[in-house]
Amino acid sequence: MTGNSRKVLVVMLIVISMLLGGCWSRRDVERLAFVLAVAVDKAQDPDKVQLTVELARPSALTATSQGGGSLESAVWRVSSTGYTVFDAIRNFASQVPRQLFWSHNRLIVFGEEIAREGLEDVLDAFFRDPEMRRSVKVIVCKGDTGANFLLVDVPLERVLSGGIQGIISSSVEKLSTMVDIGLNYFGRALSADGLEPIAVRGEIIDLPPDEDPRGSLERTKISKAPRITGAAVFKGTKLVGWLDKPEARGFNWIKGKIGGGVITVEKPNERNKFIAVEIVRTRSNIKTEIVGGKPKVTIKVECMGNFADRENVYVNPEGVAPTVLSIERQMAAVIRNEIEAAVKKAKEFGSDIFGFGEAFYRFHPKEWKRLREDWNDKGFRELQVEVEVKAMLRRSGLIELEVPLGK
Amino acid sequence: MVLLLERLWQRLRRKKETPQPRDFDGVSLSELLEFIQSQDLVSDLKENEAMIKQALGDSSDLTLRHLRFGRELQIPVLVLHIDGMVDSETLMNGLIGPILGKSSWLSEEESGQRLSRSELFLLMKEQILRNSSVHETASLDELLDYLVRGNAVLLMDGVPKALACEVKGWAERNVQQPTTEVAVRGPQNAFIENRRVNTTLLRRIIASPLLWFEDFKVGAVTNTMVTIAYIKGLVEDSLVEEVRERISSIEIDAIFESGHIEELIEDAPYSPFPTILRTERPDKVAAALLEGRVAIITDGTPYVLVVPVTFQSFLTAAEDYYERFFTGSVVRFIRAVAFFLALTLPSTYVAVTNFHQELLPTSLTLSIAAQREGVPFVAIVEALFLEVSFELLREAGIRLPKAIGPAISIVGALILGEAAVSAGLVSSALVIVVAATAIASFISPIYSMSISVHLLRFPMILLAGTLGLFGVMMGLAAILIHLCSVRSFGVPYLTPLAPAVPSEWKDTVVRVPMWKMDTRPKSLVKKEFIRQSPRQRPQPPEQEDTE
Amino acid sequence: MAVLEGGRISGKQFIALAVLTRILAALLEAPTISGTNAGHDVWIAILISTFLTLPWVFLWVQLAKMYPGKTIIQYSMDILGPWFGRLVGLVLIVYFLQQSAHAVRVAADAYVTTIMPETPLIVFIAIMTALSSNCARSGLEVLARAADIVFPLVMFLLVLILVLPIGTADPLNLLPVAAYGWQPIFEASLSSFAIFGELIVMTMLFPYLDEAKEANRLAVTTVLLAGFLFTVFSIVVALVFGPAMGSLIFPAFSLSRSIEFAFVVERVEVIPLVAWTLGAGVKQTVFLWAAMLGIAQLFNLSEMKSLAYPVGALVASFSVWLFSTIFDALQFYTAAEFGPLAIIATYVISLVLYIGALIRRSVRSSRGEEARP
Repeated sequence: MTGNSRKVLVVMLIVISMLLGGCWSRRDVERLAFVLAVAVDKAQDPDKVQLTVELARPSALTATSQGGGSLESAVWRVSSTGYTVFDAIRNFASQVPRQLFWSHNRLIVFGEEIAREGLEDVLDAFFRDPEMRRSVKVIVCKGDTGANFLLVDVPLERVLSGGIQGIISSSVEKLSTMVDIGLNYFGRALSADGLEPIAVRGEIIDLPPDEDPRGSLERTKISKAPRITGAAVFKGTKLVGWLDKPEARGFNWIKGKIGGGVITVEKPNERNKFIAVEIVRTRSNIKTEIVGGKPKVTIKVECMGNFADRENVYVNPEGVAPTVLSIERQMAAVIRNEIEAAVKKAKEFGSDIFGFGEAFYRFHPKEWKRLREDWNDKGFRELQVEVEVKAMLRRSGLIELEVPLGK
Repeated sequence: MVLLLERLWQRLRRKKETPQPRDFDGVSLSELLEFIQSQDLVSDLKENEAMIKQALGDSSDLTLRHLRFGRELQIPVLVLHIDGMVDSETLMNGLIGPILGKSSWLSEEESGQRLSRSELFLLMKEQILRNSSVHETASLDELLDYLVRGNAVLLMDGVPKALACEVKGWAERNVQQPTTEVAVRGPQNAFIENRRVNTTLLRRIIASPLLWFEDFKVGAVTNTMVTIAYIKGLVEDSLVEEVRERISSIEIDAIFESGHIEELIEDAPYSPFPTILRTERPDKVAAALLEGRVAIITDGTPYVLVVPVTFQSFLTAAEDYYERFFTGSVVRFIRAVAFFLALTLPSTYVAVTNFHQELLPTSLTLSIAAQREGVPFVAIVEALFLEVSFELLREAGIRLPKAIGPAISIVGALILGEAAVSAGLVSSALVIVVAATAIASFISPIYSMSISVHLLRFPMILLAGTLGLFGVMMGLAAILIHLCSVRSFGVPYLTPLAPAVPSEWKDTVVRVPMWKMDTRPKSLVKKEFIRQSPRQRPQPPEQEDTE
Repeated sequence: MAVLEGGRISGKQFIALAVLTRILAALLEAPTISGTNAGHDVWIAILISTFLTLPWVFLWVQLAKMYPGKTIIQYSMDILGPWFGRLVGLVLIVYFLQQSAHAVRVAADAYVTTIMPETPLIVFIAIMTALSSNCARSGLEVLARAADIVFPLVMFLLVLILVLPIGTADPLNLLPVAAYGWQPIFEASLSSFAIFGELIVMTMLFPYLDEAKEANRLAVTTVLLAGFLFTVFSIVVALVFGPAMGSLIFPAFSLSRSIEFAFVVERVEVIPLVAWTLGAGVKQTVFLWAAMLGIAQLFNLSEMKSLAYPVGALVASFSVWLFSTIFDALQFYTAAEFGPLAIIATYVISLVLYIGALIRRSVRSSRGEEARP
């Protein structure tokens, strides 16, 4: 009997002690402020850093499903400053009634100014805190602060971060003229030898004018729109320059990260009339050699495309085979130009964003010991880069390549 | 010295002799029982009658019939029975009719001078009575036992013995469909309250002389008959011995249901999990017997106990074997998943909403957050509240008269649930979770297992509410360790899985085709391991193509 | 003397138990071998140490065959005499206790670091220790049965952790091999060798093995399986993280966080947590059981059940007191920390015992047959 009652007593004690003290890490889901995007900028005080977060308002976000379109904003943008990022995060507590929760964060936006000065002071928190995700996209806002980038809207989506994420993933599939960089890659590039980081380049566009009309919606209502326009090139943690869209695609060609896209070539024998070829499948390979004591890189790219559409109805009198050949030759030229432009830019910036150095480290570790000393400033700039492109045209959709319309 | 000891011994013996209560008033039950046991029948009919009347307290359902036997002899004979427990037609044709009829007109030689009373008694037993079974007894205790079990008892003047004749017949439920273990395909009969009918049901499935029954009388007052059934030669003799020992060691006043026996003989009395299977399906019991298990049939209840059982027996329905094996396997798998869900779903919900908000997709998390924004309670209170109200609903639904049952479910499920959500008392996500859990928890074919899962959910929710997923995991680990340490009549509870017995995996989460079930469970049967010929895969002759 | 431990385990259960005690290391220590500089070449170090361990496994089995039915604690007393034998036994018991404490500490630290930062460490330690004491109290058979269930589950989870991040893996990350020379690799392989020393717990399990003749095969299978797991893990971590892998504190956790996998549950980082909690639990319990058995045998106690909770309490306090920070716990096996001590406690001691046993045997045979009963 005593044994039993003692057992019961022990169990009771455990249960009670758990109930009394056992809520250490508990946080109610409704008492959290979900951070969907964060912008990091320089504060006015030069020692300080400014964080701007986009917080979700759950009730406004889910209200649409019940009572029609709510006009309330689904997010709340709020800024805070601090001496370090973590300090700034904690300082949010004086203005945000809920605890900031970072696991659902999708974007980190850096202002150009802070990126130029270097991110070494602000990056650590994003790698160290277990709440932070490694898959968040890293964006640098060209010509503006990150905070301003968070203030624009993508009208199709309720929250900006969702919109930007959508734009990034759709451009990866459809355009490949930008880079898709998460914090994971950024961190890896920072710590790797012979590989420099790169980030997504964002811009705020005043509407109109718009040099590229693709995708602009409801122009009358919005005055500013976000754009993903290429890539931001880093050297270490410092922003050193920008890659434009074709150069960004050149980067993707080299890295084998082309998800899809369009190559427009001029029609054979006809100026200013274009043919669009859709990229279907690509393969790339970087070969490293040491020729006469000097490093040399050969980039081999294979690209298969489908004939997508064309301007003007045109029949090549020479027949189909020469036409295909000529289109393929032009495709190869376009790809080669893009790659060479990207390499040229990177060499100008002295930043080996392609990881050529890493390739030497892997395949020629002995020579790399000699090369790594001043790789970015000398070795990479003087690197001999050879480009071999093979382009193929595979299909032409539902109709023949040559359709004699109108004739 | 020796003398002194002898005197002491005598005094002790005298003390041991039973008291002779002339009056039953003021005497305790055990003393009365002891008294009755000590009494033997005497030759004098009147005295016997008085003795029986005294023991039964002249109860109103005791019926006496004084007869005289033999046209010439005119020996006084007394026939007793309990009114309502006998079939009067059998009584008339088998007992009273022959005594009064021509067969009792004994010949000159037989009557009187030649035959003594005890020889006449034997003649009565062997030639006159027409009942199917006639037992002779000399003790009052036995006589009364026969009487209260629906036999007619015959006493003859001058003979200190009685004859108990089988004339049972009372109002009884017919064999009906099972109520708690319904099957779409398979036999549709269930056990009833009568032990004899139940053994018959088994006998009709297993028509083998090696199906053996053994009777035990349990309960000092109720004298409930308990029968154990097994297949001799298949079952391990040590197991039968163990069952015998456990049942005969029961010392209790009353057994009303097999549940009483279950609690008195089970291996892990503090365990939330049942270690004895109860079923009302004869086919299930028969299958268990053929796997070398022992069935315990209790008089007065349609639920038969089966020992030993393992955890997976509770996730098994008889129908799994009747439907084709794909169906059987899928259903088994679903049951296993449902068991796990029923145990962990509410606690996981609590853990995720309170501790691990990063685990769910963003949109789902935000949607839960939005629903929870108006709810005044913390998630754990909310979950406990809903679970408790579900338990209330379930209990009310069972106890209410059948006509009102559906009304309760409408009020409870529809009105209460809907109103609670729209009033912001609970979040609809949690209502969904609790409802899904409720459905999942009833998937176990054995109700007693459902109940244990119901109960275990509450500590799991508490653990989740205090320690998050770590708590859930520790809870599951504790349950696992417990399950690993439990045995049922010597067989480890998780048997085919832990300890791993690969030859039994054919009948666990999956159910392989019938022609693959070549062996009996190794953990139960050692002597007759092979069940069937191993080459029984149907191989229809190849069809010749006909034009 | 009464039987301390009546349980028997089958060969399968032996492997399950022995491999499960390695899971924690496979998930936490082995992929990077914290505190060494081998970087992405760790897998080579692990392969080396796996084959370094094999001779010792044969040695352990050999000892078990020379003294059938006896644990290392018992035959060390036979070989080295009651006093030296007891001393050696004591060292081993301290090693077991320390291993048990290490397991629970690392698991608790992982929880505090990753998902529940505000909860005090001692809560995790207390609950896990209570459970494992309870399990150890129920005896080896219950433990083995639990291992039977846990083993396939953990293996399944490990496969998930390994397969799901394959999308982010880059095979080139393994190159170049030994860029910074072989010295860091050898250093790492020594650490890894020290980690493998934990397998000495097998010498406590051998006497309870159903199939004593199979001991050699089972032990070698265990080592190879564990080595394989370690190697695969460290390769996958290297493939996914490349040069950054050296800075990871919980490689398996980071591995699962790198999974970008559109599914009902987007985030699968619970998987390694479950796997290493189970692994840590089994490891803690096995070593706790071994320590209990060792103490009971060392002091000729008549039963060991009542030791469970006191020894559990000892383990819990060890785990708090032995390591002041997470780095202590994780870099336990490096040369700077306890690595050399661990190697002495396991390999050196067993080598000494083996030599002693051989000498005893030759002395006995030279004395002639009459010494034998």
